[in-house]
Amino acid sequence: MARRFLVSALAVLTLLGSRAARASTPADDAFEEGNRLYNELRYAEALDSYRKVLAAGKRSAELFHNMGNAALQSGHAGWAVYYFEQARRRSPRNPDIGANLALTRRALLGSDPEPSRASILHWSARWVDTLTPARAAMTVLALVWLAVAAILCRWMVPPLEGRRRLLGIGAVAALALAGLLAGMKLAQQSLAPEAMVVQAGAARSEPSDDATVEFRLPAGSPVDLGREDGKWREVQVSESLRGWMEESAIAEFAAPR
Amino acid sequence: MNRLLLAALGCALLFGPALGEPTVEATLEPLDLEVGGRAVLTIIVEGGGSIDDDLRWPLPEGLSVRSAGESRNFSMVNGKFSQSTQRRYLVTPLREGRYELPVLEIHVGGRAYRFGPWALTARAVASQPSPEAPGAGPSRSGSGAIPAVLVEMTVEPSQLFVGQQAILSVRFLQRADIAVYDARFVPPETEGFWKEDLPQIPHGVERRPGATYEVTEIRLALFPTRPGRLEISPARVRVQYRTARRDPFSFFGLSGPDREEEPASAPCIVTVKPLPQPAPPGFTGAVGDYSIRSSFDREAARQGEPINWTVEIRGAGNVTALEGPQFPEIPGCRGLDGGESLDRERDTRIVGGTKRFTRILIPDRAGTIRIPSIAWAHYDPAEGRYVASELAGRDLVVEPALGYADADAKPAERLGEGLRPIFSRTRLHSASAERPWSHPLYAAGVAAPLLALAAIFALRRRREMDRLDPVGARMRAAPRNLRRSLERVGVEREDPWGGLVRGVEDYLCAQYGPEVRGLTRSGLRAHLTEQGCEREATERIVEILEQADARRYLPASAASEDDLREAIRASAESATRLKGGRRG
Repeated sequence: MARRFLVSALAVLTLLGSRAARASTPADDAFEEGNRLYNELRYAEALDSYRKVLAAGKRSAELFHNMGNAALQSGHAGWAVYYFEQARRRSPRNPDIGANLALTRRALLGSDPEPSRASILHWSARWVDTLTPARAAMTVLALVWLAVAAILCRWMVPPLEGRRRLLGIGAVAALALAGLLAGMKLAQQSLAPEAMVVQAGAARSEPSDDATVEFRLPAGSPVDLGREDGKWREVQVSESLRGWMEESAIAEFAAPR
Repeated sequence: MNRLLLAALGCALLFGPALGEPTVEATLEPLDLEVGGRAVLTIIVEGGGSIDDDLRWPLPEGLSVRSAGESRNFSMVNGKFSQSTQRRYLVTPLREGRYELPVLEIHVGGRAYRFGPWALTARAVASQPSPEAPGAGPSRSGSGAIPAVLVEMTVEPSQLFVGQQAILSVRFLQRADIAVYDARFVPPETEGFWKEDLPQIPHGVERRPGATYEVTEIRLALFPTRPGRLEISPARVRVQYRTARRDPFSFFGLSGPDREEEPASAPCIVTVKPLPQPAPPGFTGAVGDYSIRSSFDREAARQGEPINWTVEIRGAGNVTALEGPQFPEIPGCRGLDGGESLDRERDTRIVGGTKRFTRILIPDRAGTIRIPSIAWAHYDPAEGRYVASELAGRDLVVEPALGYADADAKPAERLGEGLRPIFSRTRLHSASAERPWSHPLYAAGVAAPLLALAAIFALRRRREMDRLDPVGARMRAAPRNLRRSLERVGVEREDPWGGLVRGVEDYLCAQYGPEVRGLTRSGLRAHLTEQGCEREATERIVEILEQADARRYLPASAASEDDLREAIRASAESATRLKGGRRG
């Protein structure tokens, strides 16, 4: 009797779990709707639908990739670069995302330069660049656990000199790797540009329409952000290039829109 | 090397003529021409040698001959030098008829060459009503009644507006039977006029009573710059000539006396009227027949990129001094002077051309920029009125600037070429899922194993220390054990005072040695004092133990719960104060 009850309970739980897994959310519906509109060549409407997914607090590399396609097809190349870059940050090794980003950069900037800031640590930086921040964080966590497990094993295994030394080396290596990875990812994150110019515009010396135009930034230019003043935002391209641009022409990576 | 080459060239020039027999040719063309026309006698000597000047060619009357110069040509082919000399003479019939030209004898290098004879036919000039009268030949033309050279000047029209074109014609007439070997033209003074050269009129022949003249005409286009009665001074020609005379033994018969004259034309008076007033808007002084149009060098503009705005004025008039329209200032657009260019067109009577004025526009902002219309006017003297023109305005759509390359301007389908397709599926997640490190569990996940490891490490170390120092371990554990024992005493119903004594004695044993357990209370006092414990605390602990003994072994003695709690508190306090006497 008890066995029958247990089997029935398991079956019900499995059924509920599968239904819960398949249940679509409004964000999923908006994503599907965006895809449908895109395939009907209604790119601007598709972009609006994708933006509803963002408004719902959901996101993914595929979503940003599709947004980049829709933006590009609707003639907003600056936004397309921004969305493709967002997608690349979430899925650095996806060849489709990389190809579209390179294509749009070439169209906008005439070339697809590798950001110099990302290659500071050379090949290791390239490897770190292929990890998303979330994956890097989980890798660090796993390495810590691995190191602790190795230390525990070292304490518990019979005192054979070879195994204990191997476990000790392994534990130290795992901890070192975790620290290195965390440090490099943090450094990379701090060096990565904070925002991108999505509409070409002039950077002025002061937050005013009457202020002198210091320089002009094309769409797709990465910038760091500074102070805010009304509709104006201070942008910095380099140590010597600082100016104020209208906030509507800039999109932050941390707060996609 | 250069010296060697020069030496070789010099030797070739020096000895070349002696190397071979020269070849001499003489031709006369055409043999059928109009009166006053020119037949050219060409003598060519190939292979070196020069033509002797003592040519003998007795010509019949009615022909005039003049030298047209000599040219020499040197060439070197495959290291061999060659030389040719060409001399030309112009033969002009002065009256109609057939002329029998005798054999021409030429002497080259001391050797005589003979050519001809030729028969030359002179026809009457088609435009001339009648042939020249006999006796009007060159021999008589030099007489005082018929001038040898004439200068005539005319202006057409003689009444005009300021800026209107007039044609100044200066004609130099040279009687056909004279040979002019030097002529210097003194142009008239044209103060008050803008002057433009006109193409040269081909030489002509004009018959006047008693003589035939060769006519050379110079034309100028004049544009008066101010109103009033303007005078053009006489044109002059200072000329030296020689009259032809029949002399078969002289060089082509031109052996007459040298003469020099400076004939002058009459002055010309031009009446210049001012332009009617008032002039319409946009009039910049242009007089003539013009048309105007404007164009942009590109249809699509982009912010910050220059656009060439060209206004083109084409027509007849003084285009060189033509002033273009006034370009307006355009809001949102910087304007720079792009210069002007001129393509002249002229024939023998009209000066004109195309003049282009370029304005460089640089849009400062994206959006629609309105290019305003431009008014321009000119005065047309043929119609006697001002003609106003207007270049229509237009809207210029300016797209946002691009940086390094044009991108936004590219059609979407072009940008989309090669674009990878969209993803049909995705797994959406929240923003927090992308930042696992910001979740509290992540920090716990990292810290927990490390803390556990540290705890295990500390525990292991403690155990190890206890193993190596059991007395010390007991001493470290004594306060905790005493606290637990006293807590148990508080809840114990059966023999609580005994529990109190055991707890305190266990503590003292752990701290000051197991021998404490077998001591009397007096001995305990002495032992603790000996151990250096605080005196007051020692007395107090011994007093508590004696009190507990009394409660245990004298049941008659009454003891309340409060006494027990006070004894427990005092025990705990006193035990901690005994520390001064702990064993090392």
